[in-house]
Amino acid sequence: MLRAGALIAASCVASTFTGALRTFAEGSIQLPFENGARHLSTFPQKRSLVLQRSWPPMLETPMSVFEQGVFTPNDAFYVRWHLGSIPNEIDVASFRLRIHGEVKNPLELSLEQLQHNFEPVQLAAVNQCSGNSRGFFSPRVPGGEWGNGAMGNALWTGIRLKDLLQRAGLKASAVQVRFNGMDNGAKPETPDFVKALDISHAMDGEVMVAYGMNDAPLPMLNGFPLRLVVPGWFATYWVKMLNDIEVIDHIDDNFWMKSAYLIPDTPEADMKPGEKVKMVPINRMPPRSFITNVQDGAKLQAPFEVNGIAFGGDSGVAKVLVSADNGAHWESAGLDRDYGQYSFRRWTARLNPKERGMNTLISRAINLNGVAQPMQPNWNPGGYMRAVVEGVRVEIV
Amino acid sequence: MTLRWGIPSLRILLSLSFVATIPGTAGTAEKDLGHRTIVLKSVKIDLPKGNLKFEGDAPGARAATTYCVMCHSRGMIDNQPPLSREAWKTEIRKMRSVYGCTVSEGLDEELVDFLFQYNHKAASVSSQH
Repeated sequence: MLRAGALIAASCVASTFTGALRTFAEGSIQLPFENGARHLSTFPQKRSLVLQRSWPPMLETPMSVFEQGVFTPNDAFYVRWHLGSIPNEIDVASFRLRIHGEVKNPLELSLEQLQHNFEPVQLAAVNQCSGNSRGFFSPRVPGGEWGNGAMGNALWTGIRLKDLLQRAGLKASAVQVRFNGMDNGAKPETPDFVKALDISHAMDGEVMVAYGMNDAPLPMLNGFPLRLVVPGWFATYWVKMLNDIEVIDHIDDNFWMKSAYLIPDTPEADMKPGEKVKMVPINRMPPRSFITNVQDGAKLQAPFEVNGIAFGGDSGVAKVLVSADNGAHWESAGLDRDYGQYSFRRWTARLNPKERGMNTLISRAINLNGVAQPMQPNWNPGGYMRAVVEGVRVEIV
Repeated sequence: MTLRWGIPSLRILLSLSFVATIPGTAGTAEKDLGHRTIVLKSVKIDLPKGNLKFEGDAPGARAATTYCVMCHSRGMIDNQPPLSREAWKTEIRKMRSVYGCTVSEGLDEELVDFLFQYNHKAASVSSQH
């Protein structure tokens, strides 16, 4: 079965797969790349998900979930932890969020204070792992070997980071804001997972500290009780179990900012293996789209409907184009309800191709900044920021 | 446009005073949000540790069982694509220099041999966690 996956992948020329998850037996699936066999596993507060790693947990959302709606249910939302020591218990009464560093009034806030003493806001936003789709990289790179399901869309409820920082009062020396969660390394030598944003970004009024996800508390594995939401940016910045916000007077140089999660400073984060290029911290997301109603290997009778999801990354979805012949002819898809520029957006197209036989269905999103999904995949040693046009092999009859 | 504000402030005040007057509910923070309510309650879960053992008595297998799984379960290794010996050596060095793995350099060759063979076997058969 691994061989079959590899052969199918090899037969697809200009495009690749949506990561259509084919179930081989109850409890396992095959991601369409070499060594892509995965078990399905049920973790606390989660339905059966694709098991990438038990500890620290890495769980992938099956692509079939994205066909079911524009918001990803909390129990189906993918999970990714870095460090070996994760609290398995949160006491909401004693939990405190600390805000300190280059501020005039350091704060320690209870959840009750956060929920009641600040204006609540809601925002729909896609959370996508920097390494989503890493398993499709060619040549392959080590890391979490995800299919396309290390992403999800939720309606986040919380408070603006800006409001918190204003309450604490920024000193003129403030340069960046550093976020730390309650997880720690299994060993004391392991660098703590902390991420930083520039002060202007932290104060943009969009970055939020969320206590709600799809109108419910966050699952523990998605960061209960608080998670940073950084709309339009990759999930590495969305620190989970957030309990410490430190305003610093310099550019953060900890391992997770300076040495990890780096991409080549090139268009589409693309480079050649071995090439020497300047590396920078990963940041904004580019647009992506996926066909969700057609599985790889499907037989379709023309005319037929194709639908799926798209997101614009750091801006809204302007357009989704769909092709039944691997890009020779394109049709514009109709866009469904707009939940805001950072949300998934569902789309639908009706195609009536004249050609019969095997072909590749592809979709291409273009965002409001005019950025279109590239037709060729990118490559970098971290396996980050894949955004190429994806497709499914079908037989049109 | 993208942000939905607007929770009637009266409702916030009402729910605030409600919570504040009942000390027994201190563990439950509650807030009305439009017609929805997000109630935060203490949570405890049990997380599995996964598979922490590599079979066999080879020095490399024993080293992997001793050191690799101190920080992550075996599934991380099981699911890697076929990697070169050099790539495995790079991983081991990274684990030592960055993450604080205490495996001695004297074991590197055996660990690389083991991981390389294990990885290529896994990639040609199936994946177990």
